Amino acid sequence: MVSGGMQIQTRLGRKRKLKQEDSFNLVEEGSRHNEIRGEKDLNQMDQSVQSIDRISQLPEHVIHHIFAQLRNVDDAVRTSVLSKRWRALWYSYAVLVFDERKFIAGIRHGNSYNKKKRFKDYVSNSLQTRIEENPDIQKLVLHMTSCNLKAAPQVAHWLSIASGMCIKELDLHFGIKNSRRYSLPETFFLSKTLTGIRLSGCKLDACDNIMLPYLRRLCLQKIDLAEHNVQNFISGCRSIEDLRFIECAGLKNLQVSNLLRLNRVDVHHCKQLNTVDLSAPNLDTFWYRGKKSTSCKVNLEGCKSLRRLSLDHPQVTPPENCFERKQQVEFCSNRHP
Amino acid sequence: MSGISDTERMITLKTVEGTLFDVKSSIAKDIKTVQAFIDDSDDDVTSPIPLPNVFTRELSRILDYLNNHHRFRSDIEKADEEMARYDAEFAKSMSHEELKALILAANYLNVKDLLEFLNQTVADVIQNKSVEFVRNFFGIENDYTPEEEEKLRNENEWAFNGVEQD
Repeated sequence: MVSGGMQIQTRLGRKRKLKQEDSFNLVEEGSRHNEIRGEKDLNQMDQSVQSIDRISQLPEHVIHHIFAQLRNVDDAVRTSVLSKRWRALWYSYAVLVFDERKFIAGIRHGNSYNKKKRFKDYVSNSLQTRIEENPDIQKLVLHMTSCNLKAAPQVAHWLSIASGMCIKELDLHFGIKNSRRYSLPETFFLSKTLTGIRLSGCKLDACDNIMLPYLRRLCLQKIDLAEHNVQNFISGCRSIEDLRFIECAGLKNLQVSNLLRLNRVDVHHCKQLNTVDLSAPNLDTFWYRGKKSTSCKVNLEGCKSLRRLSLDHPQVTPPENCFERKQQVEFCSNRHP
Repeated sequence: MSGISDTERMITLKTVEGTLFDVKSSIAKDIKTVQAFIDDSDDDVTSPIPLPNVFTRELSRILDYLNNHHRFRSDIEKADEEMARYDAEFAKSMSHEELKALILAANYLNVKDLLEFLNQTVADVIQNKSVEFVRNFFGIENDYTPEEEEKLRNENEWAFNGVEQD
């Protein structure tokens, strides 16, 4: 039967045995041939010998995983040209990425207006196809280079398609030009499926009523924030574990409390910030960064589980209590006198 | 066997070819398919666990990987650095065929970290490569007509810029 090949393999195996560490040992089958499972194994072996011919047939979830790990969306898009199976796999993939910068960089001909229009058509068509072929989308990434208020209804339409698809993660990025900002529709903030949101360069003026009970990660970047915006998020998103504010102007006092699951808070380059007051029993990591020479007072008194504290700012006042417990806290500061 | 110096329980795994491997139960925990077998047997595993889809060559490499990672993890200070170096070497040492065979084995055995690492390795290999290269890499048969393929390429023209020539 297959014995020839088997012997070679076992011999190879024995050779390797010499190199192995003591944590496992290679034992030759030899005398154990009369095992009960022996016969059954041979049948299974036949099946697996067949399966080696189908080595190109990586399982669907593996291919999706490879898609997820491609660093460029164009690499993933090109896979739809490989074969019909791969095209179907691409369409069943649960992450949609629309990046205007890459899209436009890839078009050689046409003026900028035409290119932008082609991008919008591409997003609309893709979303429409996805609803028809497979509405089960986990994540939508939309990266637009600038905010054109004329496109606002179209963007609102895309977002309503996305919320209709029970999306779990949303990553919206709008480039800022002439201080025009795109305002997110109110319905955006009422979702029972969203677990992660990343917003950059938009306005939050319509978000007085927030109800995102399963939201675990929230990252707000380049957004003008008032204190009541933050409070609205805190009262409407009780499951937040990871909260980040990046370059958010307008925010003077950041006060976060009553979020029992909060594990990590990042505050980076929020210029106008004067005080940070965090009280979260399960906060593990707090990372503060700033460049401007404005001072900021940080209070972490209610954070009994804090293990990692990073204060990267010339004039931030570190919380006194962190020094009392400095044995437990991994403290990192880049303060310059 | 002389190699077993501590008292940790050993599990025996059996590949397609019938080669037997003795594995520490702490390592077996990372091999979810094996752990499920052990759990189903109420921890009473005396005979070797058959792995009807896994060949000796792949199992040997997988156990190498797991053993080394376990070793790295025991020394927290150096863990990340050594692990990264080891992973880079591991990725380099594989031919494309070995990489694919290893993915199938890691997938069957359900070794999550390794599968993730191997998938990233594949992603790095096919990154910025032409459709023909990727077809060749996965052994994919092109079942499009030339017209169909041309149409798809035109629809996604932007994704074909700057692709490496074979």
